[in-house]
This record gives sequence, structure tokens and C-alpha cells, in this order.
Amino acid sequence: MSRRRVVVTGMGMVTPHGPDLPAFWRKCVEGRSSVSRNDLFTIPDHISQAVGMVRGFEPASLDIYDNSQTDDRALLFGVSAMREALTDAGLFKNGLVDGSSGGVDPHRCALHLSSAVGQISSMERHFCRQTDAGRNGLKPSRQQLPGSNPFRFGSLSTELGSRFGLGGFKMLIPTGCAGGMDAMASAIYAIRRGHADVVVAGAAEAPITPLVVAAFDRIGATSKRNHEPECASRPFDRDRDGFVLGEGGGILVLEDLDHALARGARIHAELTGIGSVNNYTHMTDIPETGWSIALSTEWALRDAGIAPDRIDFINAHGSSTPQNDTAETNAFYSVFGERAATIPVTSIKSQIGHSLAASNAIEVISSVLAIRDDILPPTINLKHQDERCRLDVVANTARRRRVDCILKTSSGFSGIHSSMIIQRYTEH
Amino acid sequence: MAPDNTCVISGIGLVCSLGNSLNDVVDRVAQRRAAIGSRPLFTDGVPVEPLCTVDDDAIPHRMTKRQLKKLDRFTILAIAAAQDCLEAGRLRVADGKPERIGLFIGNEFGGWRYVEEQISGLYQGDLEAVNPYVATAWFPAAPQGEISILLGIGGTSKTFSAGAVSAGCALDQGLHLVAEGVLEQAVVGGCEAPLSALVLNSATEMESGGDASGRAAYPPGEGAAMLLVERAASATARNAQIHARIDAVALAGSVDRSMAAVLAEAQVRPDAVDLVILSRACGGAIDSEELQAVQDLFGTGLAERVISTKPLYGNATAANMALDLAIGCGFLGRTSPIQEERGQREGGKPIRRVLVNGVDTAGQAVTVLISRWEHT
Repeated sequence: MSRRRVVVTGMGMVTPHGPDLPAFWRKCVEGRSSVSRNDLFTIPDHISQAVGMVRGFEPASLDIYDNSQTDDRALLFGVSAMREALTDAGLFKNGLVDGSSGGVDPHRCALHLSSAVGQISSMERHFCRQTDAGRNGLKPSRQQLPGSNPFRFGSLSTELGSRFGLGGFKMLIPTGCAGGMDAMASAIYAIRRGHADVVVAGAAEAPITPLVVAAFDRIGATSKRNHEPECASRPFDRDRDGFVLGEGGGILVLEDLDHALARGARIHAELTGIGSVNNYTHMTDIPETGWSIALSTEWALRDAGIAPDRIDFINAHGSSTPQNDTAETNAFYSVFGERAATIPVTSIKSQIGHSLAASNAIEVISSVLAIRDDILPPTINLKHQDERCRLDVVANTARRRRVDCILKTSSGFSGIHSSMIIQRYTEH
Repeated sequence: MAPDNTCVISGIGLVCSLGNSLNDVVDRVAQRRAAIGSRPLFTDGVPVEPLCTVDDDAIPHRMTKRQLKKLDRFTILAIAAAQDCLEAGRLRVADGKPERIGLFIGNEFGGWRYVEEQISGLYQGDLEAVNPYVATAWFPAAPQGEISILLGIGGTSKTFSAGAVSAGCALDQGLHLVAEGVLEQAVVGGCEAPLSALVLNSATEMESGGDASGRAAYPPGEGAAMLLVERAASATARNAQIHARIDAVALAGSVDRSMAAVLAEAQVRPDAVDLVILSRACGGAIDSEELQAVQDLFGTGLAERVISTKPLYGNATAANMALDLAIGCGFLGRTSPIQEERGQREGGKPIRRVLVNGVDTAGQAVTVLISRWEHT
């Protein structure tokens, strides 16, 4: 029996480029930087001040619920991106998933979400409230407060799902910076196995908080190019010195092909292959040879049933850390041989920073848009390409080119490497 | 699932307030002997009670002090359970292909105990008050990474946060990837160590299910359990002890649907289920609905077949289902725990099939049906 095919029928996002998908894609193709100096809290000069922050986001305009003042920023990003994705898929009506038209059973409509740090702003806010911003010790509380418990990571998905009336299973896959793709992989499995017809999948992340900024700084992961923050994220560049923390959300509506065709949905692309492995070497380091990235890519290609020579574009993890970009390059040579030098490669993180789990959800959407519009968005800030990254990077300016088969890679803490194959939809 | 894809549980490791030996834990559950204590968590130094805690000295983690300094307690518990699980399953990862073994873990709260000690300084203006291990110790996927490194596990591995059904989600994913041939073995389970001042306060302030004073419905608990899942043929080839056959797993928006789905998939009638381990982790309406759904499905004779474990080892949230599955395995072949409690251990009908429920605070549920392994 042939397995069920999984297609993308809806997309939505919130990014530093803007509050929705059109705003993102316009700036992305233009190759603009939305990285700026962090003005949320004071940061010493020797700690990274560059962030990819979502500015001008108006949650009140979402008008589907009335607690935007107390909701965590990650939840708000999720609500906004999910609303856009469901609308795009023709599944949104009056604030809820629309089961009335098109024969969508809400009980077979699931939510697989990811977030590396969950509702961290709210968690830190609770700490500050209970301790007078760290001045007092923690004492037993007897207060009763409204809302869901942000310390529960899973509450991000249950909250989001219930607000849109999704009756299917809701879960969070908090696998760090590979999380968005891992949530999509979980969704693909659920659809292939017949456990769901529609799965809303992706990630939401709002990690620009004192704790997260400090934690990443302490391991030397983030860029210290504070004098020109807009140039701090520079994947594959010789002078890169770490990633830029970002925020945002990316949500996709994934659907069984037959289900999508039956309800006349517009099909944006097909997700044909997934692969994920551990490097079982180090919690944060990536093996320089890139063997583990190569292995996850080979698994994804095998899962898609295609040969490596079908890949005509790579949307890389490209985090702008010295280690990642070299390891990724080595992985591509391992999988594609010398052809790696001629396959166009890009990293969206150069423009908007690294929004942890949400980054790869956003990058998958940018891949689908590349297929739709025959445009490869650029990697900006590439002034002097690292000779250890001998790749055909789409440098600084978008490239017009038809692509049919894209490799998307991602890596995360805990030694996780996940890869995905995204293809132009064809009937056969 | 086709017969040649039959999957079994061939190794178990667990740590909870009831102990770290499966037999001891199952004995204590049968005897209804709870492990409820107290621990000072707040700056006032007053012991918080009731809590179900694991004695520090009773965690078989086999790690050095230096290693422990980098880890939160939820990861230490998970590592201890995973090591025991592989040892019990006679599986030496180094002898096989690391990428053919996966790891699937449920966790809901991450490692706030690790962070709490350092965050005050941070908020007093010292951004360098946090140590370099916070970034890798705090987040829920920390156990997945640390175990993969310690034990050399290289295959597809994931972490799931879905409250009290987190470990059920982990089992579902691991089981399918083994059955589909993507993996040969999967270590699946859950871990939780939420006994920190901040997390406890958040539960008091924001979660229903407790009484008017804000006390939780069940004592907050901690623990971890890991199960080795593989095809029966693979386990028998290694001479591993098979604890149970996994008949079916179902995820659904409500517990009546998940129970119905699991029985339908396994083609088992309700009266063929000998023991039901309730979720009963949320209190209030959610627990009442579960009990009603169980009564509706299993009807008469219910009292003889249903047990609840949270009053004994506490509510260990994401670890609950993994602990209950381990306990369920331990009961297979024994007489009903209710009969045992009455001193009727001998002569009763042995338990052949156990149904384990997990229900989260949103009411969504995972149900697992396991049965006694019988060689054919």
C-alpha cells in the first residue's frame, strides 16, 4: 500500500521582517536586515546586544480573543501565525477551525508545535513578581491567578489549539533549534499513519529575555558585533562570530493530499522526506566533519525516495557560528560530492537572526515560497566568504531560478540534526 | 500491527519515591504503601508537605560530582532510569549501530531547580550570574541529549511536552518507528523533577484541581522511567526478558475515545482487561470524567480491576505514564493488586492484560494496552 502524501496547504508567520507572510517575503527577497540593538533591557558591551526583534506587532489587532495583555509573547506569535496559516488554507472562520465547509473533522485536526524555551517571558515575569525582581527569596504563594501555567511547556500547544477549536491531539516537541522541523516531522508521521488528516505544525519563540541572553552568552554562542548589529548575522562569512538571537513564529497547515484535493485546497508544496539523528558527541558542539548532518540528510533523501542529484537548492541552518557553517559545508560535500560547490545555498538567519525552534519553521516556509515564486532569497552580510565554506551561497542579492527540490537542514542543542526534503507539488 | 511487527518491552529502569527496583515498586503499589514526605524548598526553610521525593542517595546515576554539576535533577533521574533500562534489557549500544537506536522522552517542566539558584543574581543586574551550563541543563530536551551522549544513542530521538501524557506521546512515536523498521530499538519514557519553589508556586497559583487552600489534588512528585521497546524477534534473539507485549497505543482528544480506540485496534473486549491503571493526575472534573469513562466502558466488577498510583508516588506529570507502564508490566502474571491488598496473593487469576491511561489538564488522553508475553 502506498503511503499517504503530505502537502502544505497553509502558511503563516510573524518575523522581525514583519507581522505576516507578505511582509516577510518582500523584505526577504530584497535582502534586508531586521537585526537591531536590543533595547528591551540593559546589556553590557561585552555581551551580545544584537537581536532579531519583532517590532510593531499589534496583538490587539488579532481580535480573536481578549487577553493579549497577559498572554506570553510566544503564544501571541503562535496565535497570529496560526490564524494566517488557517486562513490561507481556507480553514478559518469566526475565530475557529472551520469544519463546516470542506468536510474537515476538527477531531482529526491536530497541532504539533515546537518551542525551545516555551513561555519564558512569563516564567521570568513570575519569578520577578514573587521575588521583587530577585531582591527577596521565594516564599510559598497562596494567590490564585488566571491563565494557564507557563511553566508547563506543553501549555503553549494546548492553549493555542483550544483557542482555535482544534479537537485533535496537541503536543509540543521542545527539541531546541531543530524543534520546528521536528514538529513538522511528527505531523508528517501522524498524517502518513492515518492518525490525522490535517496537522497544524510549526513553532513559536520569544526568547529575548535576560535569562536566555545571558545563558547563550555564557557559552559564547552569540555574536558580539555590537557596533553594527545589522551585520552581526553573517553565515558563511569569514568574520562571523556567533548567532544573533531572534524571535517569531512560523506555522504551516500540513494535510493528507487526498484530503486536500477533496476539499479543493490550494497546494503550495509537498513535504516528501524527513530524517533526524543525534551526534551523541556534545550538547552544543557539532562534529566538524559534518557526518551527523550528512546522515540526517541521507535519511531524508531515502525517506523521500530520491537521489541526491535531484536537490537543486539548500536552505541551510546557517547559524553564523564558526562551527556550524563549516560543519554544514562538509556535510554537503559528503552527501553531494563536488556538486556541492554548485548547488545554491542560503541562510535566512542572516536577515532576521536565529529564532531557535521557530527559525526552521520560518525557513521551511521560505523554501515553499522559493518554489512558488522561482526566487532564491539571499544570504546577506556575506563580504568575505570563508574558504572553508566553499559553497554557491546566494550572496547578498536574490537569484531568480526555478527550483523543484529543496533540502532544509537544521541542528540543535542536545546534538540533534534534522533534515527535510521539500518538493514542488506534482500529481505523480 | 502485523504479527512480525509485534513490539515488546524488554527492559525497564525506573526511579521514583517508591524505590528504584521494579519489584519493590510493584510490591509497594500492591500494598498501597505511599512514599510521602517533605522537603524545604522555600527560603523560609519550612519543609513543604506533602511531597513525594526521591532520596538523593537512592538515585543510581553512576556519575561523578563533576558531571552532576552540569545537570538538573530531572536529567539525573532520566539518566539513572535509562542506564538501568539498557542493562536490564541486556542491550549494549556499542555492539550495534548507534543510529538504529532512538530515544523518546516526555518532560513538561524542564530544570527550574538548576536555574532558581542563579536567577536572582541575574535580575540584580549581573548578566554573568548564570553559569555556562544553564543553557544545556534547563530545557526539556536536556535528558535526550545527555543520555544520547552518555550511552551513544544516535538514531532518531525526540522529546515531548504534553503534561501527564508526555510519556505516552514518546511511546507512540518510538513504537511506530520501531514497528516501521526505522529503528531497531527505542528507549522510551518520561522524567520529571518539578519540586522547585517557583514551579510549585506556579502550580498553586494557576492550576485547578486542588482544594480551596490551593493544595494540589495529589502530592507533587518526581521520578523517571525508561522502557526498552523493540520487535519481539529482536528481544528473543538477545535472550532479553520480555516484560510485556504492546498491543496498542492511542492518542485522542478525550479518554473515552483513546480507550475505545486502543481496544478496537487490539481487538480486545473490555472484559478481557484485567487491570486498569488510572491517570488521575489532574484532580477535579478531569479525574471525574476519566472515572466515569472507565465505569461506562468496563461496567460491573470495576473495583476489582482499577488502581490509582498518584496517591502513592505523587504526581510526576510527564513521568506518570512511563512509571505506570513499568508498574503495569510488573503486575503482569501477578494477581490483582486489590486481591493482594487483601492478602489473596495466591490462588487468584493472574493478570494477563493491563490498560494504562494518561490524561492531561486539557482532557486529551493517551491509552496503552499491554499484555503478558507468551511464547508461541
